[in-house]
Amino acid sequence: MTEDFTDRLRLQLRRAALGEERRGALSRRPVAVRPRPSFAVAAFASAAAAALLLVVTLWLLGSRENEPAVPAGPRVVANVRLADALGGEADAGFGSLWLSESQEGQILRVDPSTRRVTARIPVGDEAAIATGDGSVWAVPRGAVKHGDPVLRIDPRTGRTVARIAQRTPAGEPFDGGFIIIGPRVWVLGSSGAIAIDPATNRVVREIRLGGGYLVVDALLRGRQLWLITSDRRITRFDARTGRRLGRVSWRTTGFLLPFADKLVAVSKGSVALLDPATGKAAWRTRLGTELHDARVNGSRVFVEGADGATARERVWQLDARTGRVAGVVTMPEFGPAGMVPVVSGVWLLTSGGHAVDVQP
Amino acid sequence: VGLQDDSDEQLLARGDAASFERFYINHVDALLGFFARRTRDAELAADLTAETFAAALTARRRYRPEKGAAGAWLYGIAHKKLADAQRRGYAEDRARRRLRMERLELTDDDVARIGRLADDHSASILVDGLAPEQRDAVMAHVVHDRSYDEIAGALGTSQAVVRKRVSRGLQTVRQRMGGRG
Repeated sequence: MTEDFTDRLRLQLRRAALGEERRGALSRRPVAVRPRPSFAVAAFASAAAAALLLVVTLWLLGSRENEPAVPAGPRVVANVRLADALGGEADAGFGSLWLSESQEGQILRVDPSTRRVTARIPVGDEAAIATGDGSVWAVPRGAVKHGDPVLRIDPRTGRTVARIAQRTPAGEPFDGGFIIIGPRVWVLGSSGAIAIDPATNRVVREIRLGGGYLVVDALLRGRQLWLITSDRRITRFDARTGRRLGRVSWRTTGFLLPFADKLVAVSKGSVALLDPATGKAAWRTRLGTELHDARVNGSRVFVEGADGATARERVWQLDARTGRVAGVVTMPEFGPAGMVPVVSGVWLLTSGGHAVDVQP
Repeated sequence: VGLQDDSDEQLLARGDAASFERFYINHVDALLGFFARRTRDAELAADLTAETFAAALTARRRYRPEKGAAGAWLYGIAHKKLADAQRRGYAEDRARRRLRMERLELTDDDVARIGRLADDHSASILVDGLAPEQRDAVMAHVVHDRSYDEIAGALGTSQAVVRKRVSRGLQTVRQRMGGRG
């Protein structure tokens, strides 16, 4: 008898779970059981290592004059654990980074220079975060809470100064999953969007998309809010009034990030720079085998994804103007869940609570 | 007597392979049906199911029962995987790669079975992943036809609270069925 898909998946997961068990048992083994080298052996090893280091250092100093300058590429400059678990949502603002801690349901305020948590703001769940209009805005979006109020947080005190019910102007419940801040604070959900007026903390507009396709992404372009639905179509709205302006003539094959007056489009195996009017690519660069996430910082694009069957994700750095790849670095941690631009590079946030600082 | 009698929460808390396998058995058909209804694509539904369970396996030590039912936690992961797939246009495989799980190819029989799961809209499957208070409120009001007043009296809470739980539960169910939120 042949096994069906669910049986084959069950066996795969069993093997994986047993592997995890073994790895867990190994990692819990006490350090003391490791054999220690004798003092004499250790002393010899130390001396040999020091001598080798000296030789290598002298060789590097001697050869540096003849070497061309090392091309700027991404490198991991820090890997710090900030929490037990981080969600993918984050934003920079008010001199800090604001990250979603998904285990306790907190927003972490982090000093980007010291990479230390300077405040913990309880919000009860993993949250989508955006900064703007003098505030930090958060909407719970984890496994437990849906449709809870949008929180407006004072960045100076960390206090929640307003809880704004997710309801349309007509009073219907709304279930938002992320926030974009432009002339209004837009809370996006699968059925459309609601707009909060920051002056009054009231919901003043609603965008409700017709048709059976869910809203899967959105972006702000100048005074326009673009909503992308699961059929890959893009509809433009006035970012202040919510008035429908029309559809874009082309369909996207991935997700979009604004860059100057263009769009960076990231699809499964490539990154491209698109003309927003026509959807035509000025350049297209093939990368890896499966791309997961990307951010634009200045004129650089940082792309996180997989390359072949290796377990570790990689981060590529591209020149947004030309598509040229400046370099690639392998992630030191598993499970990247999100990215946020910091200084000239990005921080990658992992589900295990690490922030990996990647800079050019 | 054994794992079959344990709650999902207990199965996740144990952290051993056999308990996770039982948790998988408890949920796999409902989750596969959920993805099949939302995507109308057997291959994508299978990929998303595998990726969701792989992610649940790697994250199960971080599950906290006090924050919600294990089923709701699993569907929370599922919703994120689905949203990511809709945003990107394909299902990611990072949790499976981490666990070195190869992609499973579907047979014709698999595709037919997933198609049947997509057509199964039974209430029990759809409310499975709801938070317990929402699930109880929806079952009492919609399935057992009890009034808000009656449910509120039984639970020792207000009618408004029960209405809110039913409303939110149904909203989630509608989303799972592929309708608008």
